[in-house]
Amino acid sequence: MTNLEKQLNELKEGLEQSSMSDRAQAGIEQRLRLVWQQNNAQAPTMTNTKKSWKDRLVFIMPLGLSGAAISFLAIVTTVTLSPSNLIDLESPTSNLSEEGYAISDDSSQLVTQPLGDADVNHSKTAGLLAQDSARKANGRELSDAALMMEPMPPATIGTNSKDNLSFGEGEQLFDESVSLGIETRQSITELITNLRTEISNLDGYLVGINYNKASGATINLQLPAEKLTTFESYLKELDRNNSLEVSAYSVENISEQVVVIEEAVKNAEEQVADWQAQLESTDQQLTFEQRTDLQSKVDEQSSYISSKQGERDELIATYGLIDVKLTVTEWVSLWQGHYWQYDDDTLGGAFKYNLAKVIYRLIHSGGSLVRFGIWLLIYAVLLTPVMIVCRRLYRSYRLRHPATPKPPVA
Amino acid sequence: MYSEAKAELIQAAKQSEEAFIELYQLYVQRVFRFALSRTRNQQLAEDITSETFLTLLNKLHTYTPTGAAFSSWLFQIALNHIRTHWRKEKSPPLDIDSLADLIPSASGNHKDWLDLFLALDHLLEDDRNILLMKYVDDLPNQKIAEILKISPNSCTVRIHRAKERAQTYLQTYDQS
Repeated sequence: MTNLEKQLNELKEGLEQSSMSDRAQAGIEQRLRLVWQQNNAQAPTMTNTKKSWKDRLVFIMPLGLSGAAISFLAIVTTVTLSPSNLIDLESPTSNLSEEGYAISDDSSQLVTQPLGDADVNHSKTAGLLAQDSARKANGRELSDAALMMEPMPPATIGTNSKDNLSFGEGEQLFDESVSLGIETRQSITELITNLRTEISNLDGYLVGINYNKASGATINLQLPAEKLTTFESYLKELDRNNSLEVSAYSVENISEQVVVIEEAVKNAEEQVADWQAQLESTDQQLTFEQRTDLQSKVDEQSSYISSKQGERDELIATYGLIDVKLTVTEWVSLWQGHYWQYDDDTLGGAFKYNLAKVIYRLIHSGGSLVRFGIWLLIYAVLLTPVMIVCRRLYRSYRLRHPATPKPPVA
Repeated sequence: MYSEAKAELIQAAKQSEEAFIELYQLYVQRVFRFALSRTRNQQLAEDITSETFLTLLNKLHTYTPTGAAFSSWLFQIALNHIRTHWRKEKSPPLDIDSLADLIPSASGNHKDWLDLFLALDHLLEDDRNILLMKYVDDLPNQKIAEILKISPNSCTVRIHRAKERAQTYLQTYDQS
């Protein structure tokens, strides 16, 4: 044993001789008893005292009510914000109601603009072909009275055969163009194939297609005026909301151009008839040179007449078709049967699209139970501060009105 | 070797005042000596003992037997109070007269006792505590390890090193 250990042992022996005085020991014991009793009075949980049913009710009721409220809110939110509802809430609405699109018989009251600047942007009703009641008796001259128009059936202008071309008195020719928009869930290539078939069936033709993923497809086509309604019905079936958006419609009356041509043709025909009469007349003694000159004039004028008639027919054939610009907005599938409008033109749009995609997949992969769990958690977190405040209020109440503890059991 | 309180008594002390007082009476002198060996002041040791048992009263319901001795936990509480006290107040200079009052057997060779306490005071707190626990409180290595929250092997090594350092100091005092 080293010197240090020896000394420490001596210290131990010395300390063993010293002890706490009885008085001090009793003083500490008394203090401990006092604190014990105070603790029992303030904190009954330290002893085995049982809580009364009132205490239990006061404590359990706020918790139970909060739990019930949270569960109720979670269930309501889960049901209300189901993916199908979400898509309906978030989807852009189709812009045209059925009323705005219907063709009304009241169009007879329509008053159009002057022919010179007859660009008319209005509903389809206003785009109906109108009859010129003010054309003057000679059928050639158009005056201000021609501004008053009455409805008439669509022009009977054929497109494929010039035999059908006609532009009689009382009829007018309109240059029409319309912009339509649909939202589709179909594959865009499949949609275009179907459209081409339908356009071909309606005796129209495709002018061009421009497609990109962000902005959708823009399809330019031409249709016979009388087939527009059929085509629109077909488009309506394709639309995801079973409706159709008409974003622009313009009508220009080009009857005057045809009338001018016809007047020129008529004048030329009268001139030719006059010359023919001179040539065939026996009263007049014409020299050989005069006859030759007159004949050449007749030939020239006949050629002019024929070219003008060709121009007239071409004009009628051209404007017998309606220019249609169709915009197709593509809705891409996020998750089985749920669609979202793809948009990466803006940062917000791309973020919204991708966020929706992630949420949809998360929600659908877990099902209703996971959704309920998520909402339960969210509401629990939101209501936690309320519960904490309730608990503190309860505790402060208990401190002011302490429960009487039962005698502790040894 | 001191006896440990039975588990039943500790469990009863959580709910019964009398059982707690019984627990107090079982340990009070040991805690007092534990405090006295470190404070070397009768009054201060009594205060530390009182604070230790008050803490025990308030925290006993949190005690769960883990296999370690109950006294290890109690000494740990006492040690924390001693540390807190020395953090607040500076240690007074060693007084040989009060030492004689404290340890009656120390009335003989005053110089040796003075050297021992000086050597202990020069040690680091952990070294001093470990030596006092080993040789004065007569605690086994296992309990010391539990109180200081170290492994028994590490405890053995630290006792050895603390002893070496204390001996070095004692030799220095002898030479001087």
